[in-house]
Amino acid sequence: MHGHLPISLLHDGDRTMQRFTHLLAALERSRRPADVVRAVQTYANAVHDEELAAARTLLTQGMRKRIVPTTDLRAWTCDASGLQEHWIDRCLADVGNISETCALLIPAPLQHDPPSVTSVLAMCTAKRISSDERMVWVQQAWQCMHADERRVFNQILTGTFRPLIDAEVFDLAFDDMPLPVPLRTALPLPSDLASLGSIHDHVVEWLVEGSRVEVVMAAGRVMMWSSDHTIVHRDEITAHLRASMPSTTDMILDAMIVERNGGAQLIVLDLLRYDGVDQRGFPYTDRRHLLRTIPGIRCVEELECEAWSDLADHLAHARDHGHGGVVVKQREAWYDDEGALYAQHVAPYTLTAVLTYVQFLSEYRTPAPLLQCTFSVWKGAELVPLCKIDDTLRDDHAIDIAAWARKNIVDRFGPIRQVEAVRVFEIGCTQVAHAPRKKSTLQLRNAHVIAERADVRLDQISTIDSILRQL
Amino acid sequence: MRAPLLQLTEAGLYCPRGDFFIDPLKTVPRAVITHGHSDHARPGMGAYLCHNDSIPILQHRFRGRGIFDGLQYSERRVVNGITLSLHPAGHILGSAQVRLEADGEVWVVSGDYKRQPDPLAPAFEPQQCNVFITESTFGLPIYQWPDVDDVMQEMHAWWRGNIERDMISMVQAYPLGKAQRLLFLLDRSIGPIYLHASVADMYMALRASGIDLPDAEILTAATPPSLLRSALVITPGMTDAERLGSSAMAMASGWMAVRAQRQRSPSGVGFVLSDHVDWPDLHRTIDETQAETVYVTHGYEDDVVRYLHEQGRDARPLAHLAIARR
Ligand SMILES: [Zn+2]
Repeated sequence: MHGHLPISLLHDGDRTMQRFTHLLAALERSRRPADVVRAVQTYANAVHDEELAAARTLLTQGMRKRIVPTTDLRAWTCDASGLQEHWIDRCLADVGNISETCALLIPAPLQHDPPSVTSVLAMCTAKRISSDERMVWVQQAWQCMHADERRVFNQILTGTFRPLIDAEVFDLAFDDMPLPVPLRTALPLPSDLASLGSIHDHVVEWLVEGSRVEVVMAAGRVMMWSSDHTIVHRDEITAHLRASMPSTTDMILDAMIVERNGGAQLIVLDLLRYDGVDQRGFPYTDRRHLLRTIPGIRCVEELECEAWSDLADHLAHARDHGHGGVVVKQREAWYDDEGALYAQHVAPYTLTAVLTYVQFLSEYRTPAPLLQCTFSVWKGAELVPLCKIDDTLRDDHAIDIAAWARKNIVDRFGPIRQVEAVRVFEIGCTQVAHAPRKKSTLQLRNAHVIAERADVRLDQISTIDSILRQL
Repeated sequence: MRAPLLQLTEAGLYCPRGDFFIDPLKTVPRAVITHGHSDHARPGMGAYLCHNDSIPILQHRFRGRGIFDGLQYSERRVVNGITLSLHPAGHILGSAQVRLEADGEVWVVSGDYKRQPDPLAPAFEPQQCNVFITESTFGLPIYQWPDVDDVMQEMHAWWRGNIERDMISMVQAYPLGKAQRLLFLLDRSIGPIYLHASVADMYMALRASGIDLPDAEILTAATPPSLLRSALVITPGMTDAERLGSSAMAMASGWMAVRAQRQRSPSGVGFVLSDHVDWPDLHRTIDETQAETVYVTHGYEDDVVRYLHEQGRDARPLAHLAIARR
């Protein structure tokens, strides 16, 4: 242990590194725009503007420049902890990264008085500093911080602090742009259609296939959000909306981006906010009526139905019109009404496949983990990957699979984890196409998990041949 | 040379001269139990000797089956010429170190222990001994517990944030020990505290046996989610998350000190709260026992032994006691 050095040049008394660490923890827990905005606002209320600007730089751009080589970080950690260097390697094996390992090995602070983020960035960009001066500064700073703050500090110094959010999302905390609201999802259409009531109380529309987006227009700006709360940048669409609507428009749309003939088109499904007023509590007929009065947008096509039996006819022709099926909406329902929206895909294909690979898509966790699962089927005596699914797995099931997968890793390939081939799932898809370049020779469209099938044994799952026979 | 006071057998730690086992793994006639956790206290033994406060725990866990004999801390019992006594381990209610003395030689088995204060477990009392058998659940230098007040501040901020976001807070914790400790530590001015059925089960049993525990609501299938708006639920797992609707989950455990472990946990959110010793306290404790020989078990045996060797100590993994018969 070395002596306790004066630390006056470091601390700002406001514990801003601690506040920044708390902000990071909040962002790790949830990336929902509303949660991000709340966390950024809490942070902004507690710190100076300069500190806020430093946080914005780090969060939106990250810190890629290595100020301190890891060899120095290791040596200084040994010095501060009194441990021999092999302990760093031993602990690194459990912790996974050197910034955090070193942060955890330093003894608890004598006095908790962390440096400001501004001063950390200033030290990183300062010229004319000898490595000895830097060492003294780093070791002093370590002695005034908790482990989680030291981890963030070390990440900044070693250039491994990754950007966490878009600048546009960060800035939402400081303007009047409305935040996206949760988009509802459709239930599968019941086989007994009469149980829904009269066809005349319902609107039937095409099921549009594409990427679901939420379009927010306000203050002359247009922002598009994906259903997993990331910003979607499609300039041709936003430019078109801006050009065709007055700058005073204050509106939120539930829509689908459809790729057609090399271009992207926006098909609007519903209206969530209009003229600054939340529309979700009004009946669908009113929302739809209002939608048709708005110039410059294209709405989903409504289908004529006199009886439930007409639905089958439309379904049979959906593909000819380039759609994936039909959607049934209750006329008088609110947007969020449970059981007011049903969808039926065109004769879906089903098969059973076993989970073989898992990839955790995001280093930082959102409330539901971003998982990508690879499912495999038999090709002769070999299991070959058939499809990757991530969209439909974002629910409690995904959490269960994530927890299970982490305990049953067989092998690792970069970010991909091979798991024990024991969990069998029923997979649905809207189309099966030949794909000679893929090992499975097949390409599934809109593949999704229907259910886990614990009753199906591994030797009973689909084979490439059995899938081809279905076509 | 005399045989060692304790040997490691298939059924666990055995004292040949006293003819009893400590925390046995298999059915044996006489068992001395350090504390009521299921990896230390198993059903089916001929007779149990433990601290008085552990008896209601064992009786509840074994549904009353068993012959139980209790000791106070420091009370001495002579068994076939071996003087046995129990001393506070600070781990959970009733947890004890087992001290054995014969012919001037003293062995101490730590069981699970911690040095942080616990409202239900008297503070750990280091025992001078010749041989110390220590746990090592968190026996790596990365495990250094933050201040409990800081951790609770974080947990409270998380709880308040969840209320703002209209989410029920669910904290995953062991039903015995951690759950009761949380009951004392949580700030009730924030919202009501609910116990999941399997946590409530142990809570009621302890209360019935006269242990003074803070009030808490019991979560049942009939509890309407609307009552839980600002609540924090202590739960052993994720079982109720779906039924209750929008909820935020977190785990309270020493493992949560490492970020990768936090992310690997079912909820991804964690608070560092442990009922085991951390690395600095482990070595402080070993120093305080002044033991000539240290046996290490229950966790990072090899790492702790290696470090003790670097410090010039005589240390071995507990497994060596099985072949140490001379
Ligand atoms: Zn225990």
